[in-house]
Amino acid sequence: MAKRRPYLIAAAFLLPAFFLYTLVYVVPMFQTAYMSFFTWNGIKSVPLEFVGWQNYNEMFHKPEFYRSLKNIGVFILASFVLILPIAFTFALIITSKLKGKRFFKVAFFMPSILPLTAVGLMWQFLLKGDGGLVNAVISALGMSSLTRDWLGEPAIAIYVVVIVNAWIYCGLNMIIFASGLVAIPEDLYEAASLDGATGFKKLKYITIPLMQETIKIFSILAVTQSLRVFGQIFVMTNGGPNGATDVPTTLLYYESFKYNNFGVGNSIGTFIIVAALLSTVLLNQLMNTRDAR
Amino acid sequence: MTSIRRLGVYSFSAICSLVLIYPLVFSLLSSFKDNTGIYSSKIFALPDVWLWSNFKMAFTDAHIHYAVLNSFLYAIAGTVVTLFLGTMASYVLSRFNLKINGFVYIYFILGLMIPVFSLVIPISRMIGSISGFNNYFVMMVLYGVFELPLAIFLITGFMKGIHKEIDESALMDGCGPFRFLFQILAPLAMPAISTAGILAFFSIYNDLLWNVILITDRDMYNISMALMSFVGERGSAQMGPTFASIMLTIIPTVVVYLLFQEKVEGGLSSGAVKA
Repeated sequence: MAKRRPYLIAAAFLLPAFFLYTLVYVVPMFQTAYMSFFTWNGIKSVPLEFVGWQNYNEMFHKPEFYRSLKNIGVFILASFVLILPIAFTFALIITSKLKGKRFFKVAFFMPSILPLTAVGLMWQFLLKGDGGLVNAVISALGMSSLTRDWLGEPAIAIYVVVIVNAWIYCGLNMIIFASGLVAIPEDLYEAASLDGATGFKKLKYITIPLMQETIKIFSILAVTQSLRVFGQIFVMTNGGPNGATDVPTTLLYYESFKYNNFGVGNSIGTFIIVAALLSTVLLNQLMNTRDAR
Repeated sequence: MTSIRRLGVYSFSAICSLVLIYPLVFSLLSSFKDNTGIYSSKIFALPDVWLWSNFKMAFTDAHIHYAVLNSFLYAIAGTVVTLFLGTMASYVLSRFNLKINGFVYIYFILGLMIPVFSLVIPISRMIGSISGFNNYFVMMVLYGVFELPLAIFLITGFMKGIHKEIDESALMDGCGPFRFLFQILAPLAMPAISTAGILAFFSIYNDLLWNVILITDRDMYNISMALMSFVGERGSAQMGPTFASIMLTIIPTVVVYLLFQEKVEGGLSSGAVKA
């Protein structure tokens, strides 16, 4: 009796979470995979029809699908060429001894706590072709020829969204880098100063090598979070113009809830799950082996 | 030399702050203007007349106050659900020597890797089969469970670092598991629990997808849905009220952030780093 009690207590504490988690995460995950082999039009009374690999076949023949992968690539690339340098610079500023750094920290961080939908809609208006703030600023700077409907042109829309995305998330990444920066012991810099190292050399020989752990975390996040982009696109462009800004998550949404093509929706869902699991595991593995060497 | 550099750093910081903050200020000013005022490309102009009627319209037409209340309701209830379930599960995972613990822990952590977007179809089908659309209770539980993996991850990790000796002394004093968890262990794990709470709160408050899929009743819209539908109806025809609505949904998060500044910054980043 005394031996069995810990199991009873453990079960009482663990089972509610275990049961609900299984119901909301694990069962739907397998259902997504299972239902990707069926067609279904979303009506409850209509039965599922088994079609084998046809949904995948359809998915892999869609130009939209490849465009959505390319757009994910743009998000990942922008994380490294846009967010990384800016957030890193911000982190250097707010961890320096600059007066007023508290103010800058709040200013830099503010966009990342705002509701995504509100921010997305705000930018949608600011980027409008007629009367948007961005065009007004560009005209005021005397470059009227550059004004355009920023989200309305298929060739540039995704890059505009990616820049807005950087505007939102630089602050958050700044905090991530800052927490890595403050962990570097101060006496390393003092020793380097005694040896005559200047600002840039300190950055190159102390800061960046010691920040590797943080940069790794950032890289993993850059990939995994890019796979989850949904709100920015859904709110700002609806995947348009002409599907130019579609990402897999929005594609899944439109296939299923707009065109009632739930089979293909599920095959996209399965693709997202597999891609997310694979990239997380692979990236962790990759980063660890490099560490061991 | 250094003073020139400092000047450079200051002007860079100032320009960046301007780029990050000015769009918000512009939106705030626009929320008091009418369309002509917004379109009159004077970028820094204060409104000629402060149109408080825009905000009145945001209340009467867009029902923003209901939306903000709904979002708070979902967020607070969902956070409570996640913290309650998560703390109990973390207690078992961190303090009991069970053979299955390792497996159960990984089972929960798997949820961190699965993007919930990929689960919309089965979940909406499941909710449909129990006629659970437009139901506050369903939404609160769902939101709570979505945040569970991260909460368990953060809280279990922290609890493992708390010395096991207190378990034994509490046991000696005849303290039951319930009292031990909620009166001794949970208060000690507060840093992790509050981090998990902040993350859950912001994520649920800002949710878009689940409200789109599972709610059709206007009175139950959260901020995202209320804004989207208001813009869909009025759009650029009445930008003033739209900006006013946007501002009304932004202000609560700004207030929460400024009140718990350090906590929010630390919480959001540590959540992101560990996830």
